[in-house]
Amino acid sequence: MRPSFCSRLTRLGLALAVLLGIVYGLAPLLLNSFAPLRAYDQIVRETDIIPGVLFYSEVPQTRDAEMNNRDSIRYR
Amino acid sequence: MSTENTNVVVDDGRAKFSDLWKKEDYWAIWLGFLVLIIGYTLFAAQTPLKFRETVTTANQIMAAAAEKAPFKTIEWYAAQESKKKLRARDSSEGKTIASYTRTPGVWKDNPLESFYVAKEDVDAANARAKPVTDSAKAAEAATLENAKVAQKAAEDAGYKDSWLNAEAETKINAWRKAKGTTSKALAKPMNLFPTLAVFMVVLIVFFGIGMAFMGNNIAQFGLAFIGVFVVANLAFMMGSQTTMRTYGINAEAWAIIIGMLIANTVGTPSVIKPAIQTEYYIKTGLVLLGAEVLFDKIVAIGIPGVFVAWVVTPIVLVTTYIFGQKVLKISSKTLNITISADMSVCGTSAAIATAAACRAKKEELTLSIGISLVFTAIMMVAMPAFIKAVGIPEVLGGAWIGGTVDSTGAVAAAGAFLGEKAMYVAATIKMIQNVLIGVTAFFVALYWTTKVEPAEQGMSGRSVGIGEIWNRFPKFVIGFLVASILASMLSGSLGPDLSGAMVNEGLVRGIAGPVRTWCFVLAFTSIGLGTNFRELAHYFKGGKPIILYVCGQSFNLVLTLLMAYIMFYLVFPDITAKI
Repeated sequence: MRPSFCSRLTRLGLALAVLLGIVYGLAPLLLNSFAPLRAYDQIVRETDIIPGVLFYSEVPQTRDAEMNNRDSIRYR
Repeated sequence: MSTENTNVVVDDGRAKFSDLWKKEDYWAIWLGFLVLIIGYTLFAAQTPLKFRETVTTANQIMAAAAEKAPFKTIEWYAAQESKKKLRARDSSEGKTIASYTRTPGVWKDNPLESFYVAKEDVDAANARAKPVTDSAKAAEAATLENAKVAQKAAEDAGYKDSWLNAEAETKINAWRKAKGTTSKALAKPMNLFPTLAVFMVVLIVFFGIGMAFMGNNIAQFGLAFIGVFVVANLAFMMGSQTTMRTYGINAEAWAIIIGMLIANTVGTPSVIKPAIQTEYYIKTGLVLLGAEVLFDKIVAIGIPGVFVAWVVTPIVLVTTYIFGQKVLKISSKTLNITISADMSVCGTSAAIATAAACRAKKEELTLSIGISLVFTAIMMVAMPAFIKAVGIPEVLGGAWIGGTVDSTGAVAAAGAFLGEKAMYVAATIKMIQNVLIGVTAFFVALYWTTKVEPAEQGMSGRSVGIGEIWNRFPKFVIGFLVASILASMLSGSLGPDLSGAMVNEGLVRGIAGPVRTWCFVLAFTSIGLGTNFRELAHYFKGGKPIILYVCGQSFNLVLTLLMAYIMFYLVFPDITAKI
């Protein structure tokens, strides 16, 4: 038997509360607590690289990388 | 992927001419090619004279500088920079398309900033940043002066003094590092609500045409699409939160999370269900992705790159699949190949292409991506830390990261942690691996249609005719490959510099990439809205998927490091010295 709408809404609320706790609480806490993660975060902010993108075409630095490698081989 | 019962035979009918306008695979091809034709017309049909002149002049300067000095001079870098500024998507048409396809932006504490930033807030933020920006500009100017003095000293000695040459190189690198910190653009006011509303209508028409021809009610689809579009935007918003961004939990992952949250609590509203069209969105996205799979990229770093990316990867993929079948005895072949491709090729995009090619279940794709994201988050921090601690050289470390960490963004960030050279090598190796997606999807589709599906239907031992292969073969893979071949021919004909300006920074980043991103996020939203937690949990049985990933990745780490060392340091040290 399907739970009542109130029950389902309560589940959604609880799930959202847990998610927000992770996003605003646990995730930043972990990031600030471990030196390698902090250093990594700094690199991400400085370079504007988005770690989660799917394909090379979404990382502007890939074009820089390709151009540098090709030009280094051609013009050195 | 399949949302149907595995007992139901798929594609059991003969191919008919009417399939061209009634079947989803073909509509994915027509819609994908419509976008690519628009992109080609706007960005790549004619090379602007200014582009050609800039590239010719820059290459002449770089060649002359290379003749003179044994290191990369200021003029060499300035010439290269002039090439980097060439972007076909900077045209007025490109900016219009960008404004309408733009996804919710970065935010930290206030999610509304993802959609709307007022001019006063922007002015205040720029004013706060001004002292830092001014200081960075002053530092850049100072380091440039130092670099010029050092280079002049080396030049005056005829470039014969190795100490002066090394000093000039160090000062030039310091200038370039300082330059990097000043290159960020100022913040601008933003209001995405009107443009997103318009884009939503465009997408309803875009996908709705195919839905109508396939016999669906377009009005119902349009209404339902609003709900899916809203959830997709929430996913983009969460993926753009700064902390989530650092961890690499992208919009695609959030689309699944938010969708599953809704589906497994209040339940997916039935009014939205007509727009839950996972395969339709994914196939269209994959045809567009084909235009980003450019075969001329394979030689971007010479033979070493080909060996690390194109020799190691298939070995790891096949070995991991066989390990999963023979040792772990994973019951689902589609889950096995999806995880194997995800881990060995290039993460989520490879998982999507492979899952679609072998008609994996959406839960299998979800599981594969989830495992990949967790291990990517670990590896992108642990690997550079390990490389630095052990003292592995930058080029080797970069190649190792590029060949093993799943996602391109994480690869670039991890490489940047080691240094610019490592980042360049890592990103290039991963780009070459990305190109392998097309080949992987084709051979997986071929293997499944000729061997796996006939065996599952009790036809093993019997040869499968061409007609039957054609009936079974996922047609969108052909669209994907044709897009890849045509884009590769265009890219090859233009040459690497103009291709970068007009294909990468035009056709791809100007229209194909943004529309593809929307297609994938809509697809993952649909997956989330249609996934039951219990069904997903079933696939975790015995922890075999994680064991498969860990064993395969361990093998990948060893083989990639070995191949990178052999190629970059034993066989082609001259290429390594030039990078």
